Amino acid sequence: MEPVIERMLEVQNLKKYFSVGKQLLKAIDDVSLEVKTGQSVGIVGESGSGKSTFARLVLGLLEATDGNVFFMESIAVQPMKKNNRSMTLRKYAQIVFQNPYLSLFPHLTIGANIEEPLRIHGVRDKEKRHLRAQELMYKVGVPEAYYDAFPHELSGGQQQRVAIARALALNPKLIVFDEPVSSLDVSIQAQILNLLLDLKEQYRLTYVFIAHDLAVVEYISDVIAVMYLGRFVEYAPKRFLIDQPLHPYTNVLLESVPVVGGSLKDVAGRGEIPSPLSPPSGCPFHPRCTKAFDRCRLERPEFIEVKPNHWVACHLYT
Amino acid sequence: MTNILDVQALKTEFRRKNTLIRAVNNISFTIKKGSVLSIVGESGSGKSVTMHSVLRLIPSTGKIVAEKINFMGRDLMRLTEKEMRKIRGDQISMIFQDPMSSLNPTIKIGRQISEVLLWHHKANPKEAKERTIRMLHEVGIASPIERYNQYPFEFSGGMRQRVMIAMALIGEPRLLIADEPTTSLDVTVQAQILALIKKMQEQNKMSVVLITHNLAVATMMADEMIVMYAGQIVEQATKAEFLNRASHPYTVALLGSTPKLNMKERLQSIPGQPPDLKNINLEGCPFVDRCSAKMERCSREEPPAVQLSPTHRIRCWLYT
Repeated sequence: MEPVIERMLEVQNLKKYFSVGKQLLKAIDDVSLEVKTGQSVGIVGESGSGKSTFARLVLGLLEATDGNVFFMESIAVQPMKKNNRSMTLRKYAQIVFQNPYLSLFPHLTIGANIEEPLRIHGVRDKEKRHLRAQELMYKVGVPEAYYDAFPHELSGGQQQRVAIARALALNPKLIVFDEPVSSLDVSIQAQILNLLLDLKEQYRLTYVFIAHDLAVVEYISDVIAVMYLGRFVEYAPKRFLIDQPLHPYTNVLLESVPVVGGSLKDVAGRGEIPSPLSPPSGCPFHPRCTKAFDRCRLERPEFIEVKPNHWVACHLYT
Repeated sequence: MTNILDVQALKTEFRRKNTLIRAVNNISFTIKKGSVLSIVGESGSGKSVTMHSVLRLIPSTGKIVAEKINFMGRDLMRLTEKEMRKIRGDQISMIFQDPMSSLNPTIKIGRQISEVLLWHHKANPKEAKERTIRMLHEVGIASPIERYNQYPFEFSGGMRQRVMIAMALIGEPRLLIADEPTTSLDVTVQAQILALIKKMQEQNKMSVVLITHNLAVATMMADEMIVMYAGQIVEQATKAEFLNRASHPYTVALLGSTPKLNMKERLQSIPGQPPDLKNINLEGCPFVDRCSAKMERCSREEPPAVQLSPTHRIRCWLYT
């Protein structure tokens, strides 16, 4: 019997610094996270918050500056070792990107795109691959007739389904989604989101779901982490994060979500996310925060657990 | 209230090799003076082409036919290209989705904005500069005097969109067309930009057409709503009617497939794909294949326009 894995993904004090000219850009700055098996963790943040860098780091697509990432309790993803291309990691951890057209091979047919991971992972039998691809296409709702079509012949929604089918090909345990629906039309977005929920249940998958749209993240996730300038500022089960947010930034995000029939509010969060090249002193959110006081300008708040399983980095709570 | 724009029987078609694409298929609508009209639709619905056609800003492969496009008492269909140029940017102006590709990267912001005034002979260079700086301040750009001499790359995405708004509004247009003005922006910035457009609309008593795929954004801004599908207007209503009695199956389904916070139920997705304009069924209703309430006649006969109230009209057999 396979040993039971409880912690699918463990991220400990992860850092990623890029040097830009003479400056240091802290894209991810000391982030820790634990994703339990079968859980769906949403990460929400504005552009430049570091959420995509985070996705690439936890899958070993990018080398961390410091910190550890463990996958399935035993595989060390970070720090990355030279020539360490763990086939287990590549097999069991998959990613789906925002732009499906750019993530499919344009010169391969839909069938060949879905079969590619099978081929790489040693499924020699052509017939077997073909059958598996057909099964996957059925699962994600791509008509069989598209088997011999090329990616450009499909609509954006269909392309994203193919990318999802490909991610499922090797029976993964973890799938990271980086803005998987933000380039799709509303009606198609709903189809894909429902598909993701069904697949998760059916295959007992673990998800890391990254998006800028809080309503979308809430729909898919069990717990939500809010990211701001390379750090988590709040983390909680979704009910608590949406109903009783603690961090002023989470509040601003919630208030900014457009609501059908809602009125235009003067949103409290002034201005925009600052450049990560010159982050503000103290709490990085203080220039936009209406509740900021002296301490916020001077001292960076620690990320602490203020209620059971509800974490926040804000001086209001210390 | 009088209408600032009255469009009757507008058709826009594109011919490519042997295919004819009916991007806008016989639509009529009006915009009241000083009000906001939101046009919602998914990609390929014709929402952008409609307003681009009004301004005659479509590629040369396209053909615009209309009974009339009456703007402040003049039929735009009868104007020459030269006369149209005097209207664009002056009485009607436009903001687009991507501010970076709508600004010239090699010209300073201040010059790009003041050019509108100079081109339309509305001010001399000195006045133009003063008005531009005032406008930059008005749209919420801090230290406008310094910013006047900066290039687009020195501005963030949200700030660039503010520059675009300044440029669109400096000529004091009577009608502003905002085509997905916040789609490429972060939510917090989106809220700020929408509030700015609304403030300027009220302050200048101008009319606004907001083109968007986002139903929530559309309803937050609108006095009146239009929902487009496959080049046709399937529903038009006042905002109140839209919120209380959205009736077309497509509108209802679109509302059901929009994710909301605190949702208890499953998203209602619309089966199938958005319409392919190259081969839509011209006989029946364009939405028939995806409609949950379809009847037999829907695929054979074009649905009539049904007036549910003097201001609420839909095209659907269900209501006949």
